[in-house]
Amino acid sequence: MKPDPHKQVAPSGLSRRGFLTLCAGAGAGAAMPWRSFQAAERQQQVPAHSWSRGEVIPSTCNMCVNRCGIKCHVVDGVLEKIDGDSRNPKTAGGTCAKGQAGIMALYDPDRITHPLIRAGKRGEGKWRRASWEEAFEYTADKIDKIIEKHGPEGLLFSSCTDLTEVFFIKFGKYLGTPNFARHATLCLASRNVGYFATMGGVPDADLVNAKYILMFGANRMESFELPHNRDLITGLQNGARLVVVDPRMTVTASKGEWLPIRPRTDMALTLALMHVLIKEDLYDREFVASVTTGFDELKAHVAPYTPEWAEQETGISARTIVKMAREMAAAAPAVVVYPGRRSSWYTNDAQFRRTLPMLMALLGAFDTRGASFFNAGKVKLGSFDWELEPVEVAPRFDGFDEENFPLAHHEDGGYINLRDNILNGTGKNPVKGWMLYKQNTLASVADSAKTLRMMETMDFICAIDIQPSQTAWMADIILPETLYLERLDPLWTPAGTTKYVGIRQPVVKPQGEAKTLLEILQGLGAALDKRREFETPFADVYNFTMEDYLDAQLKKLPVDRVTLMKDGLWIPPGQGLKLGEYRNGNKQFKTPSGKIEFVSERFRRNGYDPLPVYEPVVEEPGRQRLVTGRYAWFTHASNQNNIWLNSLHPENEVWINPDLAKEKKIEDGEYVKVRSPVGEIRIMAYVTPRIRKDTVFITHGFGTNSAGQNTLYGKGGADQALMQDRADTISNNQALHETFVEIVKL
Amino acid sequence: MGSSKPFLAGFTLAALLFSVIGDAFAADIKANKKRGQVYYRMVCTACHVDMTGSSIPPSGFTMAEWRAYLDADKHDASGRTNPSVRYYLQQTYRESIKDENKAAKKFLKLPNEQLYADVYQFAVNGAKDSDTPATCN
Repeated sequence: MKPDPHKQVAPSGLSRRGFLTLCAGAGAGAAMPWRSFQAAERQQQVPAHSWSRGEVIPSTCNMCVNRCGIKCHVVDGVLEKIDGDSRNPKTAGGTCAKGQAGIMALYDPDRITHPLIRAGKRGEGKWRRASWEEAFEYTADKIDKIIEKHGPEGLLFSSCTDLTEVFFIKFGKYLGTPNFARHATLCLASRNVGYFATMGGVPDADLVNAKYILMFGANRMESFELPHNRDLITGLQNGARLVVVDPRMTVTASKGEWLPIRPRTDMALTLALMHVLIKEDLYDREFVASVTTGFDELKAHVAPYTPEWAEQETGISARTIVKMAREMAAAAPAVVVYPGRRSSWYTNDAQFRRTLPMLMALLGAFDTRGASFFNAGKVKLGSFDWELEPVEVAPRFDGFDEENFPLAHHEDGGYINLRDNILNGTGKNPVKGWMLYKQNTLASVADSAKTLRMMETMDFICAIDIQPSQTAWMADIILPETLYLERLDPLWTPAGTTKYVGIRQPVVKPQGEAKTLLEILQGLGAALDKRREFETPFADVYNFTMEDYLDAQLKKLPVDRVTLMKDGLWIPPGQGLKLGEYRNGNKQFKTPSGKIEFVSERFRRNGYDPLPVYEPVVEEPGRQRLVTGRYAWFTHASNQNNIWLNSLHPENEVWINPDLAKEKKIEDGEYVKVRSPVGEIRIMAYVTPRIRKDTVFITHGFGTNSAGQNTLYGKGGADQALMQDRADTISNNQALHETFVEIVKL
Repeated sequence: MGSSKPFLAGFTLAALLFSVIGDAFAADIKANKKRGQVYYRMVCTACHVDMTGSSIPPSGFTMAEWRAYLDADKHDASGRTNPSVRYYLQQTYRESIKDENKAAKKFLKLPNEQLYADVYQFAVNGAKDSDTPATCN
């Protein structure tokens, strides 16, 4: 049963209009309008609706990676409404627009519900329906031929973060390939490397009790971590001062003080803030003496980075910088220097990220109320007894290894690096087969034309997905997976202040012939077993059910699967986060010194600057720096085709400062051309003072090449078509904010 | 391998001197860290959890501590278990547990020195002051 896409009505009768009203009343922080944030604040006055019909099944959302607890109202086998689960300690009953629009992901008329084999040229959009048997044989045959010719290292496995991702990665490992590419280097790898080198991990933040919150580009109000949105709102209600440093005035920035910094100069600001704290003796001497190393070197290092110097770099006045440092010191230790999440900004990003925990440490703003802290850990789930993977495998084809990127997480791979290796033929082995699991590379990696060229070199591309994404559209076969509302997934447990175990379970039957990933891999494995002898036959590896997997996870916990399915979550006794353990020396940081390292030993011994050195910015006259980011209702490039969510924001636009628009005689709402060294798009102009004149902003996920995405096709422009393929030199995280573009009036 | 204190008890100057031997030895055999990881987690960790209720992750100690410990080959000073680390890596030991341990079975034929090098590299590379601290998970 599918809705009429033109009426935009779900089987429950809940319409687009009804949806708009509902999502305005729920998840206050997430409700951000397309054009006017003032309008959103008015909408937030609308009370939340309740839904009392049908069976209520608890589960876990998957419209983004946050995994909020949800309650699904099902009537006669049809999902009518999704609410937040008030018992869930992480989300406390909240759910955002995306969470509620899961209904339209389920009943999306564009959803793929049976296997499709390409019947024309790649990207031509000609497909033929195939049975699962044929699909398995076809895919196994292609994989077998690639292994025969190039070995298993001729295969690349790309996946996006999900609870089931482990099954996909395991499949590649049992095949014997060393080549994997995951989400990290499209998103947060540079942040992780910077924090790991400095303090051994990325801390959480006590936003509720903070007195001063400093965010660099982090856009909490429009991102997907609902708990942090709620905490931030509570913190602001408690009187916290919020300062957001960003060339664009995001909704988050609108809730506090916006510092429109010149792009790529963030490190100049952090270095200058440290300069002031040290020069004026405002730093936490006791914390620095007991918990950090390298202070004397830091003091000498930041001496030249004066506020006056930083003013020239950042565009933020020296007076403001001094005032910020003094206010932060006055609020310390109840200060949050927010780590952020997507850090794929610049080529020096890992070094910049290091300065955030360094600033935090000078303020003593760690391991105490209102500051940053390390979480108490997770509930320990049992391990599934997997068959052993092959251990004698070829090295990665692309040199993404300990030698070339010593501090990176090598199993995550790096897209910029691997794509160049494939195109230049510089890899250790040719990669000719690409297995994709919900990874929309064309929409996620800078320079999509280059990704297309890489795809042309592949003998075989298989996409396991729920929709004809840009990348799936270019595949040779699409294997339809069940949606999160139709399947049982591995259990999960969050790292947070409250520990619990959550379950994602089917609330309705699968649409069409869609199969779970486990079923797909079992079928594909059986077809491969017929063709070749593997070290461990797939029949031995995947001879379990998802129920078996969950039972293994629950083996040592006092809760069983049936109870968990009924309750939706399990909260163990003995909660509580004990602060002060690092401050008093009972716990050590996971750094070589066991302390927060101003001078990073890991950076030093691997040949990187052990203290962050500022790189002057080089700009291109007459062009604007392109930055990207998100709106609250979209996750990456995954749900712009969702009928309800698309109705909130039908197409993206390029944000242009009024002064620039005036110079170019561009009116708000007219279409313009945006041109970069690698691409060109046509897109609507949004003239707004919420962005600097030297910067333009384009949100992500539009300009699809997939005519199978009927709601989205032909709307907006793709940011990745414009972005040049730069990467952070230490983590290989792609650097999405390193491209200059020209705005051309049409 | 006992709990963490007896595990590292018995460090002596002599043990530290032996660390040189470990590095020289590692240079002769090309270690497979992945294999070391599998054996460590499925044999060492499994036994530790069974006997003491807790695991000893590679990130529990520094690279120098791991080198000293492994080169000294002093598994447990308490006398409850075999005092040699190498004992638990030998084919005879693997043979004795192969029916209930997949890793011991899979690597049954592997030369003792090779498996020692594999585990050695995994432990040292996963030490808490290394570039890639490793857990038991």
